[in-house]
Amino acid sequence: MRTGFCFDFDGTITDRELLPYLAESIDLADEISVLTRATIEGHLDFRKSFKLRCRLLGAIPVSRVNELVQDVCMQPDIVDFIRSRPQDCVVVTGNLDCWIGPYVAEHLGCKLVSSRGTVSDDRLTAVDDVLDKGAAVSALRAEFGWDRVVCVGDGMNDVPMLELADIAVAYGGVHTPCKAAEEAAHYIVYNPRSLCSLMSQF
Amino acid sequence: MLADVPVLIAAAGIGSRLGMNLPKALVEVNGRPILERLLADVLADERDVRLIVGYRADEVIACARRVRDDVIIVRNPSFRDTSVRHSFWLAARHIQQPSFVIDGDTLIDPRAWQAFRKRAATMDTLIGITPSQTTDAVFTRLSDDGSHVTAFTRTEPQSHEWCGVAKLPPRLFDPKHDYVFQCIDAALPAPAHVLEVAEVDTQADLALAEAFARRIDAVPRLVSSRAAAMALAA
Repeated sequence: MRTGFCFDFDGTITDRELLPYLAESIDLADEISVLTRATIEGHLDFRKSFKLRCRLLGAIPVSRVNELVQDVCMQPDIVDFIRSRPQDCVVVTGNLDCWIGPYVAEHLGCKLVSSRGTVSDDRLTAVDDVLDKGAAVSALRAEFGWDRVVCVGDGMNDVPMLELADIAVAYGGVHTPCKAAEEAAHYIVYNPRSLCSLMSQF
Repeated sequence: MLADVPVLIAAAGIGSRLGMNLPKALVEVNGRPILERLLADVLADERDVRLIVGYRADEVIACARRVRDDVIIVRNPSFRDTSVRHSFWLAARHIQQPSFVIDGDTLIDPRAWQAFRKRAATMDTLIGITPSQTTDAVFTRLSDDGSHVTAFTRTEPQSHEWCGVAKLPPRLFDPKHDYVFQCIDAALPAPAHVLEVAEVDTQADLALAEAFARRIDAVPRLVSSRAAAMALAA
């Protein structure tokens, strides 16, 4: 049986949410944090909130974002798990390809499915597509021919992916998962080692 | 070092027979919830602990997380219409190796657990039994030398009853059965191990459990190897 693993990125693989972190460099950390938290909990529509946050963070040159992201820590147990089977793992994120693509390729070596932005003169000029994680998981299942899909996430925009998973894991290693993610999940784990010990049995 | 044998704790039920409007795992015995005692005292050395939650799940999870953050939560959303058997099936269906199962309303003497897990180390199946005491027991018929459980019975009282603790092979919790003991039937005859426990199915059990907890608590707490390692590292 072939099992695929789909991971949320921000606050699941990384030990913090990236957009508030990026916002620190332009002194908008508090503002972006409020928007991010409200979005994870489902109080704001992900699509609109994400576009708004991208508009604000678009002031940062894309190359500078790539540098900043390099300093973000990932949870070592989860990184090891992905690197031990990159062909079966996919990062499924609402974040932008131009911001985190190089980082994912370098450190995780697995496929990335993300929102897409247009870059011109080192600036983000448009968000072309905000990822629907449910549709993404359906497409990945067909593309990879997986018999079974395990999805791991924490936020409101992870719920469609968790609902379509054969095994859904709400992950609270960075912050408590939103209520809807917990309710869509078969398992809830709060610790990266527990997550990997659970996944290694699948 | 022993391998990480998963430990499954069923704590999803309503506990209607006890009538306390509280998940039984959260019932306090001698001042501390049964679940806290399990996770902190009994299972301190177990690294793969899976807690099945349903009724008032948030409170059960909060109790577990106050003790330790590494417990894997297994959700049983249909806890109102299913039995402990279904809870164990949910937790065991993705596990490929023998596991310990514990009824979440069971108070266990930590020293008795250490002896049980040590004896179980080389076995796929070990059934925990205790001298019959509860009002609604699953009695165990034993082999002549008392070493094996040969059958379960609810109607013919025996010297011992199943105590809600066992080590069992995977894939045992077949949905065609209602009760856990019916599932275990397929693995009989199986080695038996006497361990001291108290269950809290009813108010009468609770009084026995209080007395049992006071006895356990009077003994100086075992220092777990994990706690000892942390003390050394500090």
